[in-house]
Amino acid sequence: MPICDCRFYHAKQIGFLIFWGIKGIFMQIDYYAYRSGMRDWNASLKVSTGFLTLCFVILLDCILTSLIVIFAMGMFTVLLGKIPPKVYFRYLLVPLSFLIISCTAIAVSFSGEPVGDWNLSLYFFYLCLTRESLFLAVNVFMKAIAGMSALFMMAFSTPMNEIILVLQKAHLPRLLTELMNLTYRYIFILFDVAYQMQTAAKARLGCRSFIQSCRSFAAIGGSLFIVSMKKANAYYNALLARGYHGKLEFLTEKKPVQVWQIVCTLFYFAGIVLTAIVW
Amino acid sequence: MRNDTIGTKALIEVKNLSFAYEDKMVINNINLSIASNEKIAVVGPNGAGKSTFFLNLNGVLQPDGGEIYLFGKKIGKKDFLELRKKVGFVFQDADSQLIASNVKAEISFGPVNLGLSRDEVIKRVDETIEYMSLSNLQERAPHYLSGGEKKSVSIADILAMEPELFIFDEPMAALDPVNAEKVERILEKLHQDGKTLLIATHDVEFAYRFADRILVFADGSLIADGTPNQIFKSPEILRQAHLKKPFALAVWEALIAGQIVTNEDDYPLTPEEIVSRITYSLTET
Repeated sequence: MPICDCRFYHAKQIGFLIFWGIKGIFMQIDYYAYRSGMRDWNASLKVSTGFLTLCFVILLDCILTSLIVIFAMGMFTVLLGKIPPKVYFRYLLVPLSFLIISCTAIAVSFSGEPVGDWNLSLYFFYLCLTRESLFLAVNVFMKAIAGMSALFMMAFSTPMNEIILVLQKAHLPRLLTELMNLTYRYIFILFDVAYQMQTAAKARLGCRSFIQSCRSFAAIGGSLFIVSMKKANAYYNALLARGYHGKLEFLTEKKPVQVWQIVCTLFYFAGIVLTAIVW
Repeated sequence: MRNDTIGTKALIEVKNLSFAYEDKMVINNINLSIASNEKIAVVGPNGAGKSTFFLNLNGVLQPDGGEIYLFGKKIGKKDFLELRKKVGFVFQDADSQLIASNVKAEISFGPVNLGLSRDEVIKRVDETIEYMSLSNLQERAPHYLSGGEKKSVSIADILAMEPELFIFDEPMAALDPVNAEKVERILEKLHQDGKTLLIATHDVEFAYRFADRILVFADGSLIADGTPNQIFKSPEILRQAHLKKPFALAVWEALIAGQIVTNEDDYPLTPEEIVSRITYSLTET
């Protein structure tokens, strides 16, 4: 009997699959953020632009604004940030399935009578579609994509530690920002350890059947927890040894805002607001 | 060298130091004096209490008994921060030490904790990056560094704090030969620049060729303290601490016993030195 049919090998490891899926997305965004062409821009500018864009998209509630935002943010990320367009589009498509399902639900309604601008008879009832509901669905769809593109602009151009620093400047409680910093650093170590454990489990036929694979996943989860507890102590000692006394602080580089960057951003926001008013 | 320092004030002095985790005695009654610019290797089996002893020296753990003197000044319950400033500890597992999200920020963590001004922190970080030749890594995140690079950064971390005494916990563990050699060169450089080094190691060859003085730990006690020759020539110590005789020493002793070379005080420290000494004495005769 073959130990494992390669085609189904991965399907047996649903738990692992989800875990590595999350890791993949996380690592890739991090990877590009460190290499972004907008890396040297002031982080506060980038984060506030992303956040304000999100606010404007929601408040102005206008398809044209959303379209401009999608276009502008895409240009920022791909042209200035030099993120490969293929990667960028793949990430934009991540929420697509959710969006299609929910926007269809907004657009279509059920009725016993043939009402609305278009309808489809399904013998027992009608699927109805009106101009308004269709417009609403498209608007929601565009708004969601615009919001995502603003967040991606931020995430693809600013490494996590700089985003955290901006939050700290915005007076988010220190406890939260320090936790974010530590989580960010140690999640990579956790991934590494998990990967080693998984390889070790595989090497001992830990994934030969679906049941066995579930067992291995649970065992790895359990020992990861214990290992984390043990390591936490070592990490704390290492912190103390370097004079840590309750405040996690690092040297941060000052990245002054360039005039052209401000002008660019102002033009962009003016454009959004004006189109919304004119429209 | 040790005799010269008697009379002058020792950098750090430990008297009757004991430490217990819960009620299990981990280190027991240790007496030790370290002078400036010594390079000391600490050997002994796993679980002999080396790491715990280091954490005590560094002030992370507080001893249950005995005293620590820094430049002759007794370290009391409130002076442990002082100890952490003057004694730098490079951990064995670099991952447990690296904490910031880029190398420059990482190196700055210690100096910032020392409460230095921003300009002084920048100066120290830049100097350290220069000293360790890390300039091509300074913007990188620690999780994208290789093992050897992580080690260099973890050494730079401590270097930037400018401590008096450097403690290294198995600095060459898990490094490939090239990186291990690199670390050894860094250690030598630190010694040349007048730093005091205390290095835990399982590599007797390294301890023999590198150290001026060797401390042997076994079962939580300091069972021997002497020059490499004194330590490695004593079968009793080697047996107690599960140590092997360094290759260079074993070969040289055999050569002396076979009357191929004369018994002089300065023993060759590496196989290469043995080779050159033998060729030298052969061509002379």
